[in-house]
Amino acid sequence: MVPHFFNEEPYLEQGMKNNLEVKNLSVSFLIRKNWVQAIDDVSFSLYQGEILGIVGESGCGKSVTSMSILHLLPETTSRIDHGSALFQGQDLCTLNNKAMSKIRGKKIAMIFQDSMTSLNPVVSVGKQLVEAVMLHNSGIDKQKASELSINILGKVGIPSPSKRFKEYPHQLSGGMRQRVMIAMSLIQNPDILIADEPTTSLDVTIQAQILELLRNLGKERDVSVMLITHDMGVVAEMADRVLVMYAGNVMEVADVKSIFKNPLHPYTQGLLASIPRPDVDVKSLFTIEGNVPTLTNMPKGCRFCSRCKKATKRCEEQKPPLFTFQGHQVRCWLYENSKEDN
Amino acid sequence: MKTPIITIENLQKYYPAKKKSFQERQYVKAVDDVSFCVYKGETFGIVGESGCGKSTLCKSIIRLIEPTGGRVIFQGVDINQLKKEEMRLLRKHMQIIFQDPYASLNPRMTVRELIKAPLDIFTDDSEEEKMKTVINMMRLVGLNEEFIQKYPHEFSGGQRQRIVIARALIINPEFVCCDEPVSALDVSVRAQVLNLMQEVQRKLNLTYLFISHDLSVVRYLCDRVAVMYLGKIVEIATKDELYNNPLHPYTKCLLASIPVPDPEKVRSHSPLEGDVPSPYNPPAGCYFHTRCPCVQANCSLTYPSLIEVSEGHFVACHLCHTKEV
Repeated sequence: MVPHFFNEEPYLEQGMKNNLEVKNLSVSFLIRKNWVQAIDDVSFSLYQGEILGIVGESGCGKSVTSMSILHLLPETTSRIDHGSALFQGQDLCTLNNKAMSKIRGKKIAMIFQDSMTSLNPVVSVGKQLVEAVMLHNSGIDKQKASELSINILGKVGIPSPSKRFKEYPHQLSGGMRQRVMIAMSLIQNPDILIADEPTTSLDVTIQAQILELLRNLGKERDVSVMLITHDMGVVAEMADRVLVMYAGNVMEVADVKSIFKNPLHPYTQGLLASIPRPDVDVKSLFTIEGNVPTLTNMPKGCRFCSRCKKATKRCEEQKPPLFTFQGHQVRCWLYENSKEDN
Repeated sequence: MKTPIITIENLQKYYPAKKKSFQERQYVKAVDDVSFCVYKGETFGIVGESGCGKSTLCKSIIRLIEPTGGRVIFQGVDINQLKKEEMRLLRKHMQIIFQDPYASLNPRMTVRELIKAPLDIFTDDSEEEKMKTVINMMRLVGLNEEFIQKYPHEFSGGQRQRIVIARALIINPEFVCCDEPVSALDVSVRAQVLNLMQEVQRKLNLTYLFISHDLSVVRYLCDRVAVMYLGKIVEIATKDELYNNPLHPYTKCLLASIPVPDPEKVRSHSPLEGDVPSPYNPPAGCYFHTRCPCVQANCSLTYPSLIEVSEGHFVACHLCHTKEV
């Protein structure tokens, strides 16, 4: 019999080091004077040089996870209830703002979905890049920073970079702007890159270019990438490992091949069966009935139980922990018995 | 055998661009010389990237915007010649579903008022009959009757799109234009709405014109597909033909660009370089020649016409035409 292994093991064997470790992270928001838990008990590891895909439907907490790690959520209306995010020996969740600003943008960089709103419209692209360089390197002069910026614009595939350097965001197309964002995030040689839906607002042909760029630059610079997306196609193409989220919970974690070939969680199974395929004819799409529960009205047990066809009474009452089964981590009572194997 | 329900001939929609002094006014050719027909009972898909003119085409077909030139013949009537009142009555037979279910429902109207509105406009039924029709329609699209007094903000995106569909279908149209109806929805809800659209099409014998940028959705839903690039149709074929034997280089690149949800079918590099040219100033000759991987000398000289290369398969590409000869 094939021995079961913990999901960390294959990576540790190759000598991969753990770059970021998030443990039991819970984040709440203040909604109408009540604290409502948006993500609950999220744990995962990000290894050196890998691309971790985080998938889920809107509102499942994929962005909240990354934003809370970087302290980008508004302080007055959000809070981290408990949990930790270990990065290079520091717990990011307990860092103060000053210490955090030294890490944010330098060691952990982020790319957002909408490049038009994340770039300043009244400052030229070059100036914004130079600012990013000078902010984290006090020793560097403007001349050097400009050279560096033009150099990286060329690297991300922008034609005539020295001309584009002087242009404003509105003069660039959506794909070009996203390239500038990538340049800006990589200019500091970060250890971790968080890409939050980096290609969602782009056309398919441009999306293919940007994904290729991200993959190549990530591998070249040995950056760990957290790729947040709702598109299973993008995940299949880019990710090494996949984390499936639903209603603020991690439902399943596994490497990309086995998640598509052998999804264990009923939600992952349903999600994969409900996507129309570009490459094969699908006679009839599977549908997950019902809607995602709202934050204020979460089921007590498993958060997927109201839409799950395999739900039992226990699912409604008791929340399943993450079980390890066939190399997957899966939050479902169906795989409880496998616990003894480990 | 197949009867066309709507025929579009050389439809054009030009938007004037800002005039510069001492220059002639320029036009953005949002839809340029588009011709095709949609048969009764089928789903005709139009795909293309943003800015290719698919939404403009959709709106000018049902005359929500006045086309610059060309003809749209709906069941034997040239609708661009109709007077305002005649057009209004014809709208009973053609309806539209928009992309954003948040923007297309009046937030101050209840579900009952929203779905009933077309009945008030087009029929003389009594209130009682109207209510009966509304409730039947709600059942058909999978909305609980208890929701009838609720307002749109109380619904999720998928349920709102069901309200939009119910409103479009309540006066029994024959032809429905769907402008990206599922693009704003999440994966699991998208599947629900797609299946619903298929189901009501069978039950009510509808004809869809389905506009989308998502080639996977089009493959699932459509019978025939047209591919647009910068305001022109570059290829029309049946679904099987288009996905299995694409002829135009743009269609090939577009198909190769979609990420496939299968990690074992990963492609190594992106198939298409560069951006879509500005529609203000499209390149001379074939619009695609600046990005085309198999460009020839004559591509930059003349725009290739849309020619039928095999039965029902039309392509606008010099390459395919020369092969044929």
